[in-house]
Amino acid sequence: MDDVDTFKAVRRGLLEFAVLTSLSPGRLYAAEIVGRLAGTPFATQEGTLYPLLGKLRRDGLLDHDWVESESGPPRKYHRLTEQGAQRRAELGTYWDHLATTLQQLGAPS
Amino acid sequence: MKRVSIINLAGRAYHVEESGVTAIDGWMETARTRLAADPDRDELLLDFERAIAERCDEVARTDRDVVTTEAITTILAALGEVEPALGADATAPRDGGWSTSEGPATAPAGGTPASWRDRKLYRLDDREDSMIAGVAAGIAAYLNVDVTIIRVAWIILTFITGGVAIPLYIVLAFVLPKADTPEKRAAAHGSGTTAQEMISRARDGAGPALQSLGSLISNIARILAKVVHVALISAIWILIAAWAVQVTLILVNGGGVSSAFDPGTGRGLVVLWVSCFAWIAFALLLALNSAVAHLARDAEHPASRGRNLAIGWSSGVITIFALLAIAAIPASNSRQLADLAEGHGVVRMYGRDVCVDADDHFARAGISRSACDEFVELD
Repeated sequence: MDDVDTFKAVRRGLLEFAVLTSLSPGRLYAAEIVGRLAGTPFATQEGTLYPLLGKLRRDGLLDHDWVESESGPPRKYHRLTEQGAQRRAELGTYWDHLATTLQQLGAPS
Repeated sequence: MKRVSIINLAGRAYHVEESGVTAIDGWMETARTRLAADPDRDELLLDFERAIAERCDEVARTDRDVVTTEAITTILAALGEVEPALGADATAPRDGGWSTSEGPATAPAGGTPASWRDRKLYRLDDREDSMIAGVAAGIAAYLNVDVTIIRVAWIILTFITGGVAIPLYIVLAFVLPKADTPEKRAAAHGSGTTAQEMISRARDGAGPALQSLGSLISNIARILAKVVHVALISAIWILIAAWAVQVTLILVNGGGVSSAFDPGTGRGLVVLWVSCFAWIAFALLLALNSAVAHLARDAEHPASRGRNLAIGWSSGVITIFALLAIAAIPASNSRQLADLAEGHGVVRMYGRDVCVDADDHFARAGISRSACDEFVELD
């Protein structure tokens, strides 16, 4: 898996986008986000995810609700704020723009 | 047989093997250091605690009541390394910023566990760490103990010294550099290595473990040893300074402790006498210090242990010679004084033997006056 290291920087920059996207269908708690990203190129661990979720919350893109768990401590369910949903949409548009640009750059003139 | 502690994770009690508890402590400590610049640090640490708790619940439910060290190691490995969020409020990214889980773990330099010697003494002037200028927090981080212990020690010290500790605090507040970057804060705590290394260090028993009584007692002993160690090092420097001052005074104008000697005692002799005493004190402090450093587990490094032993033995041998010298010098002086108290004696003054006689001792003993450079007869 050479691309694992080669494209690390690309994934690193896109992890925020991936997290916002994983939350777009509805609220999730951290372990569910980890589960959803597992097996994708954005696979990540709590050690990385938690500080990122904290930063996104500080930026006003996420908010969380506390939900009691039948076993174990209460869980933090994260959801997109209006601003977060907007940021995700912007990132999506920008991503499309980047992809189109890259295709055009490679097209024979 | 393995000992088990009951620990509190996010307000719930869990039965965990002791070395597992140590591993959790080590992991959390690394996380705390890594997130030093994160505004939500305390909240995130609690999040991690909840994540560990939830996984412990799964283990305890499906397996058995006690969470084993192996299970803890698996849990901590699954949480991965704590990486501060990119661009989180002036956080300088560490070696390439935050990486995803597949990234190779950053190799610790040298691979030796960071001892308290690798830490640097800073002022930790954080909102949550400090009360005044962060001096106590900095010392606590340096000694790897709870800041409350240092604060209580300061207060006790203030009472014992009759207030001298207060200006000392002010001096330290000015002298100690402030840990104003995440790197410096990491250096203050002596960590900054990988979570995996932290776990293995914790399992080896060298990491902080505060949950169980046994390790608590050994920790207290270690803390005391460290405090004594620091005090001894200070005492050694004070001793060296005092010796230098005395020697200067004696050589420059025959001041200092010269007045305690017979007038006419050569300055060189006084310097020798003072130096012998200073050496004995120095050697004793060094020997004590190497013993204490051993207690403080500083002797994990075989090199420093050998060095401590060498210092101990050589200082012991030289001390014996110094003791012999010191026994010889005052003996001659005190004999002269004792003889004079009886009514006669020989005093060496300015390089001349002056015989003093008030009871016709010299005549009765048949000693010729020509044996003296000068003869003083008293009535």
